[in-house]
Formats: sequence, structure tokens, C-alpha cells
Amino acid sequence: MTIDRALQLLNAELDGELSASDRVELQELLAARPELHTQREALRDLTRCLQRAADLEPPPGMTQRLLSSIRLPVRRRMSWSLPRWQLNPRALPFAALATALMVAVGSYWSLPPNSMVGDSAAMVGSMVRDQSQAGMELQDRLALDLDELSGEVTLATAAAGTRLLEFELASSDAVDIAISLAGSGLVFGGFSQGENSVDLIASDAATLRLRSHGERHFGVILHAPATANATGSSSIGLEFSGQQKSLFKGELKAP
Amino acid sequence: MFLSSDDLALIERCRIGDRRALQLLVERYQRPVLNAAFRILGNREDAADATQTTFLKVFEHLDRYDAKYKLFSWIYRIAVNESIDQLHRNRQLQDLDDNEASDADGPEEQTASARLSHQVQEALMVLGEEYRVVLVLRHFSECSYEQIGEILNLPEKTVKSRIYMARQQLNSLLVARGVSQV
Repeated sequence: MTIDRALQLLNAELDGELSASDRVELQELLAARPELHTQREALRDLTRCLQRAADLEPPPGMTQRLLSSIRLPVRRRMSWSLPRWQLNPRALPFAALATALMVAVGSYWSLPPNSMVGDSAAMVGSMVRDQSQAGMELQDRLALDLDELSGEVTLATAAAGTRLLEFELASSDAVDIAISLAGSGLVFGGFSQGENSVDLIASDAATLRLRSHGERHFGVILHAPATANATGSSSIGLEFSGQQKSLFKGELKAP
Repeated sequence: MFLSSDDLALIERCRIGDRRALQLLVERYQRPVLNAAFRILGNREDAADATQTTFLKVFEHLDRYDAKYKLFSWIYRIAVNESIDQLHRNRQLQDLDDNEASDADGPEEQTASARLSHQVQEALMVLGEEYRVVLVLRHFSECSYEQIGEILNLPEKTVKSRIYMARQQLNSLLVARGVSQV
């Protein structure tokens, strides 16, 4: 047995890495060689010394500097996105049918048409039971391919005059979405899906403001009130902004 | 050391761009990474730079993270490599910088632990890199032999012998400075 072996065992003991057989061996060594107790104390003293050394506090603002310098990867597009429908006109009826099926089986949520706009608590949770709304037809779409934001927005109409705005977005930072309904004859009728993945910032009769962050998929239901002409053309303005600057402005139209 | 059963979930959320998950991970690991970098580099500013670069690399290469390894091992491996690279880039950091030696307060205003921290750091900087790194991981980051082996890609046997040698040297240095009792 060498002195090195004894010190190895003392180090392992200090680090809590002694096996049962090592422990027996160390106890025998300590009994046979009293000078090892001094070595043992020296190691313990060193450890106490290192433990007392103060930790370095992160400098003020370090967390924010780190967060602002890190860009997270953003998935560009989900595999089932819609552009192919428009590339091949013959596929459009199938796409519309697929949308209708999605609406039918997807447990869409909305408010009754006469619900008060702006009551965010009431906007979520009323299930659409009128399956006539399932006859959705894709009318328009916007593709987004910016550094800060990618994805697409589609506008579909239902037989009952209800419009469905469907968002499929990915962004590395929070993005504010302003949906302008002024002149469209439409009012916000609730979320069709994904209501938990998007923040409702504000809404009034003319504008709905949402905040999306990361990869989000959600649908917004728009109703034509009974007093409005539900068969008229609807133009819906969209503006996306992030970090206090406008990123993209566009319009969706449903004839 | 780190009990981070939800690290994987946070990583998955980061992979889809969730910045709240990013913030949680940064807040969880910035302090230990900063301290490990500081003990290796001996300089606050460079430790902060190394920490920043570490996190940039971690999240830039998030898709390369292999979940069979612990997240902290992966982060520490990047942090240690980044600290050593920085040390090589700037050899003058072998000496403690003036800021670190004196800081804002005079010696009488420094707390006992701050003074001790400085003396320990001086002694650590005398050690060779390979010894300093294992001691930092063992004593300041509280890694096990196995974890140190994983971080440094070394056999456990080598880790043990390096820690043993490093302690011998550090103890001698601290005794010579009147810090350690024995």
C-alpha cells in the first residue's frame, strides 16, 4: 500500500465518492497510520476554505443583455400549410372540403353572433354547434416571410356569413397583431381554436389586437351582425408589429 | 448538482421559439456558468463575456443538443471550452486584473469571504489549466467525478488523479499565503 493510495482514498472520501470496500480500506489505513489524520484535516480545511470563498454575483442587467442577444430558432412553416391549394386550382375544392372537415371535427369555439365585442371572458368557450358554419370556403391568404415573423394568415367564409381568420405564425419575439375590421361589416366573434396560445390585448368595434409569441396556430371568428349586409365584400386589414416597429401591413378580402 | 427534470421541456419550448422558456434557462444557468468562467479566467469582465458567448452558442446549436446527456453537462462543456479559449486568446489574464484585486472597496471594507475569495482566486490562477478546471468543477460547480468526466470528456480515473494533484498544489499555495491552516 502506498501513501498515494491513502491520499486517493482521503480525496474520494472528501468528495463522497468512496465505495463500501474503499471505506473499509480507508478505516484500516487510518487506524494503522495516525499521520493520515493530519492529511485528512488538511483536505477538509482546504474544502472549507473553498466553500467560504464568495460567489460572484451576475452583474446588473446581465440577464437582459443575454436575453436580448440570443435569437431562438424559428420554424418557418408547418407541413400542412395552404399555399399548394392556390398553386393548383383543381385542388381548391378538396382544400375547401378539408377545411370544412377540420371545422366540423375540430370543436371550434365562438360566441353567439350578438355577443358584446370586447368582453374577453365571454369571447372564449362557446362551442359552435351550428354545423352550417362548417361549409368554409378559402377566400384569401397572406404569406409572411420576414426575419422576425413567418407563417401565413388565411381568410375563409362560411355559408352563414361567418368568416374565419386562421393564423399560423412563428416568431422569435412577441408580435402584436392589429386586425382592422373598420368598414368590413364584421365583428369579433371569438376564437375558433388556439385561444390559449395567443393573448388578447384589446378589442373594440373597429380593431382587435392580439399578441403572438413563438409558434402559434389559432383561429379568429368574425361575424356579420344581423343588421349588416352579410353578403357584401369584406376587407380586413392586418398589421404586424414587434419591438415598437411595424413589420408588415396587409389586407385580406372576401367577396 | 442541478436537479433539472424540466430542462428538456424548456429546451423543447425554446426550439419552437418560446422566449419565456429561454429566460428560465438563462436565469437557471447564468450564475453557475459565470462563476465557473470567473474561477477559470480570474477576471470578471472576461467571465461575463465567456458567459455571454456560452449562451449564444448553446442556443445557436440547440438542435444539436443530444438529450441523452444532461443539459448542464453540455452547457458546462461549452463554458469550459469557451473560458479556456479566452484564456489562450489573452494570456495576460494570468494575472488578476486590478479591478478584481481591489474592487470598489478597500481591503478593510471587503468582507472576509470576498478577501478569501480573492486569495483563493490568486492561488487558483497559479495552477495549470487542467488542474484549475477540475477543481472549479468539483468545488465551485459541485460536479461529481462522473459529471466532470462527461463535461471534460475524460475517464473518471483521470478526473480523480487530477483532482488529487490539484488539491495538493492548491493547498501548498494557500498554506504559503497563510490562508489555509495546514
